[in-house]
Amino acid sequence: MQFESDTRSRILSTARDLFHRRSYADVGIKEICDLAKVQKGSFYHFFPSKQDLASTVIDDMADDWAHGFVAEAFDQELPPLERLDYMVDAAYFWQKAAKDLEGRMPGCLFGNLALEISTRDDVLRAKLTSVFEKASEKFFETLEEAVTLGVMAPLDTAATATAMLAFLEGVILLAKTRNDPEVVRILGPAVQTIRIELPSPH
Amino acid sequence: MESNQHKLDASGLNCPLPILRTKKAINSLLSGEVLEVTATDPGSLKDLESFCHQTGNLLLSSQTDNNTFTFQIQKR
Repeated sequence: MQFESDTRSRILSTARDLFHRRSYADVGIKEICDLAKVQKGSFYHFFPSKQDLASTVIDDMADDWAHGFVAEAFDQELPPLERLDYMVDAAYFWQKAAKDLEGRMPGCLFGNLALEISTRDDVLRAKLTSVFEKASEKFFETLEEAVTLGVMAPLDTAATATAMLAFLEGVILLAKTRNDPEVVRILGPAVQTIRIELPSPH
Repeated sequence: MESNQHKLDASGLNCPLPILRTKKAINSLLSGEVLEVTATDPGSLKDLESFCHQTGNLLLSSQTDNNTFTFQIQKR
């Protein structure tokens, strides 16, 4: 059993790395098997198709994030708005470390996949939509708390949460295009200033 | 003094977790106090250098021993 789980996790981590650094379409099952040192037969034992693999990669990465730096940044012990700073720091240092190592800024795996597959694969697109919804939920909870504590004037918390996520994804995309993580450090903190007002009562 | 030594063990954590934990720990210190951080992430030296550069905290020392890094950071 140990051997089985090793094989599966080698496939997963290889695919995750290649999808992130390169692309989904451009990476074939053969290349993943070669790099992971796995026979094609055992690949199909774990993943009936490349789409199944991508779906598992997305779940796996989302799980890592949720229990890793997202949990660390959206720490209930921190004052609500400070959590946003920690999210920006997390994005910046992560992208910077990857660039220092590889020479290229990889961007956000979910953002990269969303751009690549949204017009081609509705199953994966739905999966990514739910990842973004979960991420936006973290911003939403933070904003709700900030409004309840009175550190923020009431606003449309749901729309603002989504706008904050969209801003950070956009900043990461621009930084990736320039291959310069400093863009995240310089523009990222403005996430705190985004607000979408509640509809005016008529 | 030993009693004034604040320690953070970030061993086994990958970027960006060591930096986020360091930032939290530094925020809880008084100006002038020193935090000792232990980390195993190979990128932690570069990360902590740029963290200190950006936040104005002072990286007093960094040591490498068998893939373990130890840093002393003084809060500004």
